[in-house]
Amino acid sequence: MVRLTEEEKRMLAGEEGEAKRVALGKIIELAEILGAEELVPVTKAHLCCGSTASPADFPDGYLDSPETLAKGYDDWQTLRKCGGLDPKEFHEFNRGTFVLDDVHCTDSFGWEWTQQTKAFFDNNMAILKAASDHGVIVGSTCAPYLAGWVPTMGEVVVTTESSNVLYCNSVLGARCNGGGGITTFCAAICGRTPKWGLHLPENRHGTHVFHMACDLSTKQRWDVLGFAVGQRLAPNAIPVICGDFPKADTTLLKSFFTALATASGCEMCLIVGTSPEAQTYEMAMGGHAPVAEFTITDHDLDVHIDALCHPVSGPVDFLQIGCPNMTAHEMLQIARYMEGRKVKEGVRFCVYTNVAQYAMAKESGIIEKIEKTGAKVLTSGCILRTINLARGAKGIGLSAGKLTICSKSEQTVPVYYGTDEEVCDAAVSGWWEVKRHA
Amino acid sequence: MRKGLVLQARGAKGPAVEGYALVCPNSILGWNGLDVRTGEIIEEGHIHKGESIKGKILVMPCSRGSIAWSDYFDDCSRNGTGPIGFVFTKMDSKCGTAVFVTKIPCVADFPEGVDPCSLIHDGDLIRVDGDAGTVEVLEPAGVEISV
Repeated sequence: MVRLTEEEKRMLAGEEGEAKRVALGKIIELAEILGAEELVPVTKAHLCCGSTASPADFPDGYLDSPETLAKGYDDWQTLRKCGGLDPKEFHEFNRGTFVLDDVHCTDSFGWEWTQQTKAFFDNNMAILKAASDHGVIVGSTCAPYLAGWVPTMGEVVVTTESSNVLYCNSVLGARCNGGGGITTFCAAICGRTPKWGLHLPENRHGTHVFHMACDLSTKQRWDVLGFAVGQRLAPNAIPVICGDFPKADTTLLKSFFTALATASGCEMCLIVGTSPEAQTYEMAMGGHAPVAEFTITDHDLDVHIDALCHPVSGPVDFLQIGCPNMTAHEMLQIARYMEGRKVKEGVRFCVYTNVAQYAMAKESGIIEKIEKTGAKVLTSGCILRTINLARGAKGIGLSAGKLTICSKSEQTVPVYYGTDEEVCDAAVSGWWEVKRHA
Repeated sequence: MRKGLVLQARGAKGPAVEGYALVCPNSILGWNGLDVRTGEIIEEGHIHKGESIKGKILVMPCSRGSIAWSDYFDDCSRNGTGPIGFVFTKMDSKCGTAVFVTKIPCVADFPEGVDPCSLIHDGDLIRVDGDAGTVEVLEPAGVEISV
């Protein structure tokens, strides 16, 4: 039985409106499934708000069917995500919750480069307009912490992005459980979520200890470390990363967490010396003995690089970097690396960021520098989310393990994996030269 | 003999359901792990790749991968290709959402040392009682050899 506060009882009685009444009822139902005893206020929410259209809806690449364009719009997602709530009764998300949107199925600024249609783009923009009319801040990103959505230590948040769950818990010390799109939507309406799991201090200690005996100086090393750790984890484990390695910044850690979330169900990872709750090893373990200990070597990382990449060298004509979305500083590095070079004719090379970082990069002249090379800076998605983006490609090159693994299951053409710089080189040459590492 | 074996855990969602177990000791990947039109497991390297979850009781340690994990079960459910029950060694946030959206019976949170993924076998006819929190092996799969 879930204990409710007086305010929650009033909400459940409909005194704060029909939308909150229905949504809170669903959050209570979720709490009972999870085994939670009470609820907790949510001050930040991050959730998908664009069209609910997915690549599976377009097997032939035709985007403009009336059913697709109608999807998720007239009801503004309530029928799908908060069944039982009359769309006419849903006017806004909880006012005390900062709601930012996740990635969606188009670029935020155009439709031609992404091989979409104006009707499809306009439809998605209308859906996002409906979101902002309901109080959503439109940042359209998988990395909301790069767009001003930055919780403090102990703050309770909900999100539809698994790498963001890890970032919030592990780097910021915020309190976050994963969940899913539907429960996150309901939590953002009523401003409550079950108090459970990683909200409880007793659950926030390390279980599996990983000793680093490997080079961790680059983004790619952290990316494959996510797979090396994730594949060794038991269910619901909290890994502790320790050893003598250079301090990792946001750029490295967002890649690490994206891979870790892909390879496991992990929602918190304590990095000794970096995570606020793991300034020391003892602090990370909270008095608990390790369930298991592992040592990660360079070989352990190299096998993942080789396994991710298509094994035979060949031509590539679609390349993407920017998973998770790039910072303006990362894009500056790409602009510098590509300076004086040109993307080969017939090759499509895109760099993904979010609208906030795009605005800063534009002000700083970085977008212009990148696009002068023939590359394109896109926002609000990736090869997995921007529908039709890589349609027609004969060879694909990527620099994120998550995108590589997921693209392999969607694409029939070779998918190569390398560093951002190797992707840039392939964009210039139109060829991926496979290097073996292990 | 495992026939009649009863495992006690926490009832997460009732009522009770009977069906054949599909045991996935490494769960199912949360992005492109399932073909939601058919219920087929399409994850590369999965021990049940090519098999369908439709009408089965899924026995798994927990979720794995993307937060979209529950969406795939939601889509299967809407397409009539979903499972009829869940058994989770340990409830996690994505499993909870999957139960929430599919509204099918679930038993979870087994005591330390009780592993349903090894005690229940593929093809066992089992009864999952989401009110009482029990999982019972009604008819073990295949022939068992007593030692």
